[in-house]
Amino acid sequence: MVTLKQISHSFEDDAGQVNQLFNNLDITFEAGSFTNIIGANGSGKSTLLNIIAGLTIPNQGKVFINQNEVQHLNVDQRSKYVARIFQNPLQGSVAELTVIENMRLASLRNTHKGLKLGINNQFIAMVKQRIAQLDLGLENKIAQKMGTLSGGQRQALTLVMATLCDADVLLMDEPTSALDPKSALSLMDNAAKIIQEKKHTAIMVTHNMREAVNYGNRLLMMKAGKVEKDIAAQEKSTLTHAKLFDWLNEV
Amino acid sequence: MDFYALALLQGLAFVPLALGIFLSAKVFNIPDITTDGSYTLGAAVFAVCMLSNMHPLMASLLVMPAGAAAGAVTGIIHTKLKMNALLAGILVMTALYSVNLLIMERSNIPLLGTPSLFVEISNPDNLLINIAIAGILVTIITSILLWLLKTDFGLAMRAAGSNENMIEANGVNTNRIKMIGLAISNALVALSGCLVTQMQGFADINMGIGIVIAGLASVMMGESVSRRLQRTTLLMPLLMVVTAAVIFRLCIAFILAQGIEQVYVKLFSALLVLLFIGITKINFIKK
Repeated sequence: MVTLKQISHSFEDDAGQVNQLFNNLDITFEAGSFTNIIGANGSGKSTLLNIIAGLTIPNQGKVFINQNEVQHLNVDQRSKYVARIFQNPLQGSVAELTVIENMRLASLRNTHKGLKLGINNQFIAMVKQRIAQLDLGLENKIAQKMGTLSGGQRQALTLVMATLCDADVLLMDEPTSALDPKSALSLMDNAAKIIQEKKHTAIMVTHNMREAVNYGNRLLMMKAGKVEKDIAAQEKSTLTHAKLFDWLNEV
Repeated sequence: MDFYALALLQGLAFVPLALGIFLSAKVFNIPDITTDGSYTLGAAVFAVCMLSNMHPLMASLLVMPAGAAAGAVTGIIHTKLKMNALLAGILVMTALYSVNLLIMERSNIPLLGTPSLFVEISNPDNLLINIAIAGILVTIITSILLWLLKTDFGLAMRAAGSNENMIEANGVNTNRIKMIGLAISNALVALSGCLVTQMQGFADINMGIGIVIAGLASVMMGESVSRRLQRTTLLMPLLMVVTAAVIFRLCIAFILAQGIEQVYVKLFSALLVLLFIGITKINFIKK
């Protein structure tokens, strides 16, 4: 569960002007829920994710993950609670390392990275099995450098990396925006499956209305740092694209 | 022939330097100029230890924590004070000049006649055995570095140099790991300074000037050759850097053998670097 309490945050734009984005924002994301956040550019969606991940420290307010107060923790310290898939498929993995080496680092997210040669047969078998679940044939490419794979393949592997450890929270910042439609569909199907299986508290920022409607069990519409609409599970299950567009136009 | 054998021996002494710069420049993507100071620091610490009759092996081991400390200081200035890495390195390098003088208490310490890791280095009959000793040392150091870079910690180091976002999201404190990386890098550089001191029989306050260039040349040459060979394993770039460090020294020896005076050596080493980098940048296949 993620709770944001009384979050206020402002930032300075390029012209040096201070803009207030959040003003006493309160939001709770229940454990095991899958929330989509939509809204125009500048509505605060990505900043909200950054505040949860620790990339942005809010001017005021508190962030709780499962009752643990985390706003004083840096990104690396918070990573034991939070796994993340970035918008840019190149950002979530290291191009110069092989797939299996990237997976090894991801598997150690919660723990110390010591002087141990950790990539043994048992680890390789475990990773291959996890990658095979994507059904993209990538389990045969684990010895390749990450940089040799396509954006879609890298993003799919980032999903496996993010969910290799049991983090409570999975943050996805427009995870499919750089992918072709087929790769995007495959990624989202896999993400939904893994989120349900592992019972992550998932929060996804998206501009893709089809994804906003088809996936998740809660939908937040944001505008200028405020939640304009909060659509819960029951209502969301009957939500249509047409209805969503109407709302968006209203907002 | 002995002349080139001697250059080969010197080349082997420069291998830890090249590996150290490989670590800072290629693995961490940090242009670390501390090198010029920590190389001399290695020489200074070794010379002073030898003057107090320490065993040469002990003294050679002791220079590494000294070099590591210098690297760590650069790391702290860069990561904690957020100073540009290049500037942090220059700062520490400048400070090290005084530190090295303080350690040495004069600008030159002759060590002729004192024991070293090598067998009577001044006697040409011992060249082969000394090359073997240096070869074993270099093999050990390269193997340790290769092993380190393959461990979980090594993976985190390699990731930190290439994608900070990813590695922080995976629970690594990038500041800490960069600091450790610079410490290891400068420990290796100091070891080179100490080995060269043992070979030339003296430590000199100015011996480190421009040394970063020699290391960087080896790294760039090694890297581009291993890229051309399209081998992407970790072993290949490391072996290429080791080889390049030796070849660089042989080239300098060749230049000296043409009767060019010692004063021009630095100028020629800079030109050599330019040549190496130039060659690797030229595309030989015309489109």
